[in-house]
Amino acid sequence: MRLTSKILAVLIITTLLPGCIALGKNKEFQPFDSTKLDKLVPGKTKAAEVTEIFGAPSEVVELANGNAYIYKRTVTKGTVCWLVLLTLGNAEKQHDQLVFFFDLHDTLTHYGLSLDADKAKYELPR
Amino acid sequence: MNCPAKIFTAFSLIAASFFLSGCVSYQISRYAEGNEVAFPNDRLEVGKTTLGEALSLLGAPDKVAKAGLEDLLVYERALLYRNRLKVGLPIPLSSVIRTSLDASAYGTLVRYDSLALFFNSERILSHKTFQQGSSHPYLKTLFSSDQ
Repeated sequence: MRLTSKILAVLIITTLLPGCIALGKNKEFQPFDSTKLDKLVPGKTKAAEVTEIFGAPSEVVELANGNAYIYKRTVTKGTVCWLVLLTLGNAEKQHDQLVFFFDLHDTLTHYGLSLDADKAKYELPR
Repeated sequence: MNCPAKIFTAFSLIAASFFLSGCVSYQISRYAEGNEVAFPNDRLEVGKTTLGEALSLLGAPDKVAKAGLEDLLVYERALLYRNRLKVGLPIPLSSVIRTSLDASAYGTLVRYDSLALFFNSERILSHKTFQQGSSHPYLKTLFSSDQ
């Protein structure tokens, strides 16, 4: 009797919850090292020195008062959970981004840094 | 509940799950890109805040662009939600008749939280705008007549 109940319980669980879960991660890598920002002096450092330290930028944007060099890397984490009738999927993409602003003479004026790639999470839709 | 009744219930559940798994399915998807956008309105003063101050306050922008004689910085987060309901026969009929008995409905909504900052040639904030799309509820926004 007890054995029958246990077998039935196992059958029910394995049938009603035949779901599975999948986790995935995508990374667009760019090897810039934000700790090297100390080497830069706004008002003095030239664009060529920035590219020497950080490598080729991901994007260069022409601005009204100069140029911006953008260094970007992204991490995407995805979670999918399949149940009998319900499928739940979630993906989150976060960036690390470093933007240098140069004047019309290619001299660094400002820079901004955001490190958010670590904030990408595996989770189900909220 | 006696033993045959238990067995009957269990097999009914198993059979129902087999058939329903091909019959009705519901899918909830979410995609988010970018970090939450902060809008410290009182610390972003038009005519006073410099580009350097804005960058130290908000970090690197997601987009930069030339806007006429000004430079534009955009901080943005995109949030996609999709719900999909599918109803159909679990028995494959395509080899017998050339028709499909599946029906599905879905709704996708992408909302943006965006902060745009414009800087003049002296790199002083000339104007700003903030839109919090994520504050609009999913179903109400999806089915509203507003574009």
